[in-house]
Amino acid sequence: MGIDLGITEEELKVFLDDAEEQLQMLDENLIKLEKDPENESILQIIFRAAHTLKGGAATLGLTKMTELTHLMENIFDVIRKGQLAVTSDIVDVVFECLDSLRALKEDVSNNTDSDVNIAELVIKLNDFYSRSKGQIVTRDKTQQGLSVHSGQKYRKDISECFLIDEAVKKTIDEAKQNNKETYFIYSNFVSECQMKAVRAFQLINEILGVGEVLLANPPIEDIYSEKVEDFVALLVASDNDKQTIEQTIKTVDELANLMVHDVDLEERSLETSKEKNARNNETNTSSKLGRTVRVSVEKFDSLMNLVGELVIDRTRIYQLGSKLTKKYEDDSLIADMLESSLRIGRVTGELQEEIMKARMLPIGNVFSKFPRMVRDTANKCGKKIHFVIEGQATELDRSVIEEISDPLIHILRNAIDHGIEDPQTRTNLGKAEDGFVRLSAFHEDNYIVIRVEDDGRGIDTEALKKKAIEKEIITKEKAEKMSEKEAINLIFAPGLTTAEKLSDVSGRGVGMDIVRNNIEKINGQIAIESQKGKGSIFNIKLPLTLAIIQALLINVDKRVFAIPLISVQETIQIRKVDIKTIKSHEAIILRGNVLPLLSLKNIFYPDLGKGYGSEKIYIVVVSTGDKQVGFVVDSLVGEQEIVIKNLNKYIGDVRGISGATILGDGKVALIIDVTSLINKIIADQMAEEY
Amino acid sequence: MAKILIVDDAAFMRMRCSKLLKENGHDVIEAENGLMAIEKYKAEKPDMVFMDVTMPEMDGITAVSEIRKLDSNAKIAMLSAMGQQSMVMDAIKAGARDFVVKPFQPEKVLSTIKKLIG
Repeated sequence: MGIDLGITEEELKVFLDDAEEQLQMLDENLIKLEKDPENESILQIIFRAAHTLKGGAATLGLTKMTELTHLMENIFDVIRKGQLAVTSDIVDVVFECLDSLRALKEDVSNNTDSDVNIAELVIKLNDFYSRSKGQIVTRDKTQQGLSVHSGQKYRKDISECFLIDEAVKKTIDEAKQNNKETYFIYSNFVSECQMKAVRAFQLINEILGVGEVLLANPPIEDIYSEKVEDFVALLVASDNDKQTIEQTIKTVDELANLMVHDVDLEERSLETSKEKNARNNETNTSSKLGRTVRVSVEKFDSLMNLVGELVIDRTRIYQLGSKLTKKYEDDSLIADMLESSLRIGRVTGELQEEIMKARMLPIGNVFSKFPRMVRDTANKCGKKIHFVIEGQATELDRSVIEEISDPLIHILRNAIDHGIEDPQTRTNLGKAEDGFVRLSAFHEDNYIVIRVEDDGRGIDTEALKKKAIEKEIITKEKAEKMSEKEAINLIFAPGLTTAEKLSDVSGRGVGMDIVRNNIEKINGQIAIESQKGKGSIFNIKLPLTLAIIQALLINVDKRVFAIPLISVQETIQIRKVDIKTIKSHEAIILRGNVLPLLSLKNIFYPDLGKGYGSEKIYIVVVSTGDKQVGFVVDSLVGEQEIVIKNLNKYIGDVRGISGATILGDGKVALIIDVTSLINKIIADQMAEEY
Repeated sequence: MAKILIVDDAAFMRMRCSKLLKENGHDVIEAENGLMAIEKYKAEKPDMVFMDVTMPEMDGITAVSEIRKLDSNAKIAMLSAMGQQSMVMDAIKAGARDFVVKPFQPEKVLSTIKKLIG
């Protein structure tokens, strides 16, 4: 896109962040507007967001973005003036605009040019606009009005230029009674303009030939004393028509964004100063509340990393302290050291918590884009959806939030496309015509749960089993023995799709297995409850943060491994004789259920040979989804907070290991990837059954 | 092609300006102050005038109003340095149509000519 306007990276970033904010605000409020088309405050928000976006885009010289937002602003201007009614085709087109704006924004941020074509949208928007005016706006004219010059402040409203008090209103009224029209004339200057005051003066000079200047901003005295900033605005009374005025002032050189506007007394923009003050106060208070500093994610990541290092050293100092106490019991220095190490520990803990909190974002940031998606998907599938969002304020670590969006989109689409029946079927079933979909987020223990529920047809386990047998994922015998819950979980099997026909909404079978992988990648878990004919519930359990987790430390062959506590169900001690062998797999019976065993020693040190040294054996019961497995370990070390360090950079992906952590004594412990190990067991078993 | 009068007390300015105009096929007449400009205007009837603001004998603003008295249709553009904004405004009040800021950009001068005499 080739922007080189002396804009710094930092400034660009701020613009992009702002733009994203405005786009999200537009997204949210458009949906609201469609339901409540006459709500003035929603209209106001949309109008302002478009306006803000336009201002930024114009400053950066982003012409396409400026043009689109300008036209959007026009549309919402006439809508809020009641000259145009909100219809779904307008909302559709504006949504398309938002898509294009996003694409344009991406271009800016990646410094690419994907040649976003806005011509069609421009025509459509102009069409709506002219509909309101009852006239045809020629393309030519709009373009002229839109010549954007970089580095210039974009157009201002009449109310931003003049204080319209009762006296001014009276003057306008009088002009009207004398059969004169009142015009608002506004212009910026091209960036190379060296004598703005003279240009402004020329403008006034030209106007004086065809009319009377009622008000000028800057005032004429200021123009004469060369006090002109970046615009000139005039309120003019004239018995000439708009075209004549435009022709006359066009002779003045070096003007930009020149426009002539009919002033209508009824116009909302002519709010009195009292109203304006009220509005200003409102914005003042909000700006006071929002005392924030923008910090890049990278900075936070490195802060988090540093805190991670501190946490490691804190543990280390503790351990050293206790060792020293044993060795030099009577040395008073040790007591001092212990005390100060305790303090360091406490401060580190607080620091960690604060940084974690600062990295937290309300999940509403992700949720906010879903109403639009739900609406579009529902329209495409011919479904009617009552979509409810709860718990937007629930906070999650930024990195988790980034990862959770795609899986949620997938689940929501599935719910609408496959879950919810079409309106006719629903009516026949005695259900409400609108399908109910709820997306909610809430705290549960030390985790966040995100739940997607629908009141659709639920998961058809028979169809799932049939499909799974067809695709040779399970055997017929196994299918018959399967519990309802196990059958539901077939949905996570790779390469399985339940929809009879592929639709462009939910796509093809690359579905829930990927969703589950993505969720597990961020140490989360997903579980499904479903009742045929009643609906489904998807529960996603997520850690508060990715960087530091609670883990259970265990010993295998004198080495320490860490198992994320999120997957640990319980730890038990059994006797060797309790172990049964089922089809060459070891298992125990735990409370009446078969619990397959997996010896971590066999997995990680296959050379050491099978067999258990002692009579008493420790088992860590872990689970993912509905699958439970017992890891056989040598001994338990204890629970601890660990800082996850990625290993891929150094040694690539290792099956069964998701990362490493540094322990208090400086040793490295590997973190066990529970999901991949459980999947391994399932894969092995399946391989044998065939 | 047009006949253009350049009025400036600085010979260097007249030279540069006249060189540019001649290169672009115009006929150039020169004058070094307001009084001479009025004489030349009467004698030669140029299509347009480029007029400096501050000059000895008679300044540009006075010259503009004098020339306008002779020819109410006179097309005059001011040649002005930065910092003379209010004087340029006075000149416009007196009847100048446009202005070019010194040091001028050639395109600017040419576009001004085009605008004033088509």
